[in-house]
Amino acid sequence: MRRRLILGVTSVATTTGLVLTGCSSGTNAASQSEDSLVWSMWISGAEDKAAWQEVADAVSENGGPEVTIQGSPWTDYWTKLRTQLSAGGAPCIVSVQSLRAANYTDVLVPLDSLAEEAGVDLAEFDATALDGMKVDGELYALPYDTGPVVMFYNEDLFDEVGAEIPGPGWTMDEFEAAAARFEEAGTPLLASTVEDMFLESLILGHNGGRVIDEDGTLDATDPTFSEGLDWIASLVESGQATQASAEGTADDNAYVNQQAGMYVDGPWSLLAQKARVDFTLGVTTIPAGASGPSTFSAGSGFGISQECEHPDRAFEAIRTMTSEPVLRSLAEQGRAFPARTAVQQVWYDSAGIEGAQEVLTAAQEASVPLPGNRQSDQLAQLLTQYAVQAVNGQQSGADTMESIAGQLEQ
Amino acid sequence: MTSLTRARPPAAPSRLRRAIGYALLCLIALAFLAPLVYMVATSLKPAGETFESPPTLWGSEIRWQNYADVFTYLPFERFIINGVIVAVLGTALNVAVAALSGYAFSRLRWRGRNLVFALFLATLMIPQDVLVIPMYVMMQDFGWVDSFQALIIPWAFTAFGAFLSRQFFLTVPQELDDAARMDGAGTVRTFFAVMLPLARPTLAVLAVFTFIAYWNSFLWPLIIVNDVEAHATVPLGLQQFFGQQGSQWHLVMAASVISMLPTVIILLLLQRHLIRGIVTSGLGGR
Amino acid sequence: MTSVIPPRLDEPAPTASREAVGASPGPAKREPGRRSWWGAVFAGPHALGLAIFTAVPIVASLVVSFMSWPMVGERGWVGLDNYADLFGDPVFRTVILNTVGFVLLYVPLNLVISLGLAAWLTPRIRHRHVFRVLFFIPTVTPIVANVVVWRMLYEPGGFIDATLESTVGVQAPNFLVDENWAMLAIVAMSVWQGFGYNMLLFSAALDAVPDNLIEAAELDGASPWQTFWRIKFPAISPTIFFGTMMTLITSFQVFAQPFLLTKGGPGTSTETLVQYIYNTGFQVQQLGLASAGAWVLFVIILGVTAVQFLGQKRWVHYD
Repeated sequence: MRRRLILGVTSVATTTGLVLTGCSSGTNAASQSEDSLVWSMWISGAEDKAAWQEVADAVSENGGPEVTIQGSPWTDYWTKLRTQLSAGGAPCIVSVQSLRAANYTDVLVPLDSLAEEAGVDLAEFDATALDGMKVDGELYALPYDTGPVVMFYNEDLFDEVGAEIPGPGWTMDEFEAAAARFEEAGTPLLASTVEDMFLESLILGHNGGRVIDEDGTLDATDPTFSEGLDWIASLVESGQATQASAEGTADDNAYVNQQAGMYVDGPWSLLAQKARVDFTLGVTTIPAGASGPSTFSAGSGFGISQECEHPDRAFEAIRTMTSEPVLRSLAEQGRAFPARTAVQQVWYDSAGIEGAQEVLTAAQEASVPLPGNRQSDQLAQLLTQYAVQAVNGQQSGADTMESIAGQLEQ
Repeated sequence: MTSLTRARPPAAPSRLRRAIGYALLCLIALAFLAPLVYMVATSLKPAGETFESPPTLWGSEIRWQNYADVFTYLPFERFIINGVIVAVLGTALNVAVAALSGYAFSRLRWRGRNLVFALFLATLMIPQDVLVIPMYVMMQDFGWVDSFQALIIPWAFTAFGAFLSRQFFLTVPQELDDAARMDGAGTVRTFFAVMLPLARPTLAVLAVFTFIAYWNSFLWPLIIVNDVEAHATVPLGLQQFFGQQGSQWHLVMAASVISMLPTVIILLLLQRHLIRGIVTSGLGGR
Repeated sequence: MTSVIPPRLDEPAPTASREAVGASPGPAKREPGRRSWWGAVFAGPHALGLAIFTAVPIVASLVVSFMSWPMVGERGWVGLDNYADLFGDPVFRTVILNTVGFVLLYVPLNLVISLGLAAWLTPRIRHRHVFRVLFFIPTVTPIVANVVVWRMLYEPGGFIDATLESTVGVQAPNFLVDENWAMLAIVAMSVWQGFGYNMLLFSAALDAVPDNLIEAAELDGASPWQTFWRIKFPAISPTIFFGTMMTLITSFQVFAQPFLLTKGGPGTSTETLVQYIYNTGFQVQQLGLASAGAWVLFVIILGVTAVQFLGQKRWVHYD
């Protein structure tokens, strides 16, 4: 009896097992080979995907391996990435953002020796972009784009309320004058955000406050930064800025729907936004406060995961993906402000936005890289959860940053 | 309270009162439906008009194009196909094993039956959300992370299924088994030729609930799917509309309408069966 | 997937035919076949599946909860440290309070509305099946889609805000980022999407109350209100008990609504237990700590279930 039972169970188990192995395929480690690599990238929408597909195709056209994109939206990307990099079937090629590079040094391959072997001239890259990808002096990704954080404004709305058009290098006083004009007209000037890079840039410009210092040390309780939060809260209270939302796209939406005059963004989304809005889009620097003009710059690039069994082939791939022709084509489409100095002009030419070059040059000169920190992912998450309360005036900036610091300690 | 003994016949509610009551009920239903109506209306608005003040129900034009745009903006058809694959295979597996085990627990005699059934019932106490962490580790060990089988198989074995089909088989008269055996049918043939056809309505109810559960599932796909285009089901696909480029509310709404269609159609077509399923089992999809 | 829900173990399902559940299967006298191994074969696949995908994980998660188990890196035994960390973490305490708060608001509201509507929708109501189906719709549609609509209602400048502003001239609160409103907004949305199930369950149970009982009460001059509380409510109390249990168990596992509406914010004011488990597991990537959190949830649910069973004698009438 018992033997029969065991027999029955095993036969069922074997059949189930057979069925399962039969249908198990997909993008697991098994699919990694010398000639076909998986590239993990943040993708928003089919159009975006098509543009990056061209980048992937460029690799095989240049004799490199077949590169398959594995896309997730920006918000999920960072959550997924870490689980993926630790879970066997990790992708070979990994897209990383400069300020998050430090989070991933334990799962990424340092590229210096690979670059040297392959004879890549790193000097052709924008120095800020390259520095952003370095952690403790070691390079973890080849950058494809870079850029200082700037502000996009609605020129039509500025005209309508009679505010002066903000030129590059405009000051906090001018910002406040414009905000007052907008307030009179009953429209907020600023669409608030609590997204790490944009919030931090705005506050840096306002009073020089920062939570991550030049060496990448995190101090969430920095009093100047908290004051910066209180300043935004005062704008919200007087109706000069919109209330913040935990939803990262609320500021874009308010701007596009003409519910606010301007918002903070990076040059990488300039052309996409220009196509979306039905008013005249302008771009300017972050208003300069007491400590002079300043903003953060950040960029993105491609790294290689330690799980990758063919780092040489992967390097070949990312070399092509950041090559001059590819970056030129990305610049033409406005997909990325190129990390190679030689093709940056192409981006300006195709942007077709008056004064963009002047603004970006000015912003770039005033910019400092936003350093990464092991906890910057967590910080970003906590900012969306907590800073909303500070910006919307439910809690003081100092209290808010205190709670964030408390959570970061763990 | 002594009112039960009061000797006054119940006053028949006047027509007016009934009419007012009915109107109130309609009003409640309307308020209840408002979000859904608003969703459909927004899904037909042009992009710039989703946040209007004062709010308008309909935009300046009825834009059916939004529904087509859903599929160009994101590969939404992939999410639908993935969702169907997962839900159909999961349902098939669930119903198949449940029919077999329900039969075993009701009409077959075997050693350990009651113990095993008790263990089955005990698993009903375990909320599935509690299982996601160990399940994820298990999927890592199996090499199943980011695969269809990870979406399907772990949740295809529900004791609820066994319970429901056992309930049914218990109501089948013993004479049917006997007659089949007289005709020389063995256990397997009796099951497939006699019992299974009889159980079809019950299994259909189980199938519908299971399908809906798979179709709507969110937490597990969120955890286990890495390659969105290859494996994301519809709820996860819906979430993709909130990308870096700003929310396309009119498209989100159109996609939501599309995502609701299959289950709403099932509900409208099979309402009687579903209600009977809920009534006879007291449980089901939720 | 929180879809398929346990029935009560010791009692037959509410309106199921009682003999079917309680009776031992098959008449013992006319045993058709002798004991055979076919039973084990038939039950085998299901038993195996449940063992692998439910029994093993639940035991494994208990084991893992006593370990330090980062997604990457060294694993090791830590004894009760995870549990100590959890209860020492003010966020975890907030999360428990949030979850309990949600349950305390959601469950009564859900029950009152579903029972009220079920009682209202007597067979006398014209087109009542239309109403029943309408109220049931959101329970079968993807929760993500439901949440998305409600988010648009709640947004500043969204439907509620814009309506208030253009009619009364008042600005609506910014529901989802206001500490005082966020949880209420989540509860309102959850009740809207969830009560249809209980309504249908109760409605069906009410239909099964024998007419002669009701007629007798009416002849005695009882008002509809009295008839309901004295006759109908006791008659369907097992069903209500069952519905309450199910609603309680599922509401402790609330995840998608806060996750998609508020991300747990502002601050941690709407973060729930399952979201804490998700964050700890997949963002902070401490699977050991996350498993401990999951076990706390499991124990809470078991405890609440047990209390319910003990308390049922007071108000649940079986026949």
